[in-house]
Amino acid sequence: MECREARAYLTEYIDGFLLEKERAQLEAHLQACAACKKEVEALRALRGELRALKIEDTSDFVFDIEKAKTPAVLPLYRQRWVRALSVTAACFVLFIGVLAVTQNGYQTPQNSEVQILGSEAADEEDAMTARETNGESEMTNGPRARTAEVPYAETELAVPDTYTYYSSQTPEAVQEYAGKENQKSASVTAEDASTAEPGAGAGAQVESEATVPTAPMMDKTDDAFAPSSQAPASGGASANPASGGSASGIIPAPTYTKRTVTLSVSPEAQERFSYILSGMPVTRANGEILIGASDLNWLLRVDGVQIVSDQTVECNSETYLNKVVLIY
Amino acid sequence: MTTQELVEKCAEGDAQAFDFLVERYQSKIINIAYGMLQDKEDAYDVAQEVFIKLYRKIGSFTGAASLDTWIHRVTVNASLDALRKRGRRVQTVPLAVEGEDAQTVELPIADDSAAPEKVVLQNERRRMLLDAIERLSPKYRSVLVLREFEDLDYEQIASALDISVGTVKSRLNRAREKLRNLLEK
Repeated sequence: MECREARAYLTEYIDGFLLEKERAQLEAHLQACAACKKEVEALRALRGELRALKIEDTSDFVFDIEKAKTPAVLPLYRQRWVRALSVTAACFVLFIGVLAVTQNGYQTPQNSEVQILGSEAADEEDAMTARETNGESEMTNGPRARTAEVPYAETELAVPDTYTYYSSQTPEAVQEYAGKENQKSASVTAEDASTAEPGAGAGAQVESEATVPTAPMMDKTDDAFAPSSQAPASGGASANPASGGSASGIIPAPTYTKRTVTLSVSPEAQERFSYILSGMPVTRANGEILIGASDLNWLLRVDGVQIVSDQTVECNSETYLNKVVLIY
Repeated sequence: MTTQELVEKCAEGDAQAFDFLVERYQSKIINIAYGMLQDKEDAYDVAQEVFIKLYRKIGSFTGAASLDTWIHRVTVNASLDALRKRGRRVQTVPLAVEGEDAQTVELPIADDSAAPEKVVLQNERRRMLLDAIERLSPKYRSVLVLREFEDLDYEQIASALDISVGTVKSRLNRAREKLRNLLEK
C-alpha cells in the first residue's frame, strides 16, 4: 500500500470502521512508514481533544415548557399573505407613479447623467451637513434606512436604534437633519420643490425627481474598498457652485454613504485581528485592514464608540477592545 | 423506561414523561449545538428551540430511532439557523486580549480527576480548538461534531444530514485535515 492510498483510509481506520482486509493492509503499511504512523497518532490525539470539549454537566439547563404550550404565531410582517399584499400594493403604487409621470409628458434624461448629478447633489448635501455637525450627521442616511429592516429584538446585543443615535447628536445636527427631511418631503410635488429651491425652474425639478436613481445603484458602481473619495467631510469639490448649479434642480436621492474604516493593527496583534475580522467584508492593503462594502450599510463600534465616518482606529495588543460589532 | 415508552406517554399528554425525555436528550442536543456554535448560551437556546419543536411533534414519532434521527437533524438545522442569524444581523467577536486574565477565566471544563485516561484540556488549548472548529465551514463542522461529540457512526450522520455515507467519509476526512492545518498555524 502506498502512502497516498493509506492516507485515504486513515479516517475510517481511527474511527474503527475500516474493513478487515483494508485494515490489515494499512497496519502493514504503518509498520513500515513512520510518517503515516505519526499521522495516525496525531489524528487520534485530535479526536481525544475534540471529545474533551464536550460540556459534561448540562444539569443547569431548564426547559421552559410554557413556551412550547403557546402556539407559535408569526409576527404580522412575516406572514405570507401580508408580504404578498405589500408587494402587490408597492407594484400598484409604482405603476400609478410611472403612469402619472409619463402621461404628463416628462422626458427621462440619460441615466448616466442623472447618476452623476444625483451623486453630486447627494455629496454636496452631505458635505454641508458634515461641515456643520462635525461629520456625524452623514450617518443619518444609509444605515438608518437599512437597519430599520432588522428587528432589534432579534439581535444579540443592545443595538441602539436610530432615534437613540440621533439623541446623541448636537441640537444643531438634529435641526439640520429635520430641515433636510422637510426639504426632501417638500420635494414630493413640483410646486413645493420649486419653493424649496427658488433658483431652480419647476420643470427641471420635476424632470429630475422622476429619474433620480436609487443610491445602492450608485454605490455598486464604486470600488468597495477604495479610500472614500465620496466622504462627505472631505467633499470640498462637491460644494463647487458650478456643479451645485447644475444640480440645483435635482432632489438628492436618499444615499447610502460608503464608509471605510481602517484598523491600524500593530504587528503583534495582526494575527488575532485577522481572525477576528474573518467573515467581515474586509480587505487588506499595506499592513492595514480596511473594512467596508459599498452595498452594505453598517455601523462599526469599537469599545462602544461608534465609528461614524472614515477614520483610522489604532489597535495593538495593549488596546482594550471588548467587541467589534458589525451591523448590517 | 425505554425511549419508546416515554414517547408514547408524552403523546398521551404526560408532562412528567416529557421531563424525562428532556433529561435524556438534553446533553446530546446541547453538545451538538455547542460544537456547532462554540457558545454554551447559544447552545442552550438551540436546545430550548429543539425541545419546543419536539413537544409539538411528539405524537408523530414511530420509534426511538426515528426520534434520534429527527433530533440530530433538527439540532443541526437549528444551529445552522443560529449561525446564519449571527452572520446576517450582528456579528460579535470577543476581542479581549489574551493575557494573565485569560488564564483565570472559568470555563466549563469537566472535572476529570476521577478519569485520568481522559484528555484534560488547558483553557488556552480549549479556546484554540473551539476557534479552529468555528473556522470550519458548516458542512464540515456538522459532520465532525456529530462524529466526535456524539459518536454517531457514518450511517447515522448520513441520515441526520441527508447526505450519502461516501460524502460523510470525505467530509470527515477533510474536516480533520483542515482542523489539523488550522491548529498547526
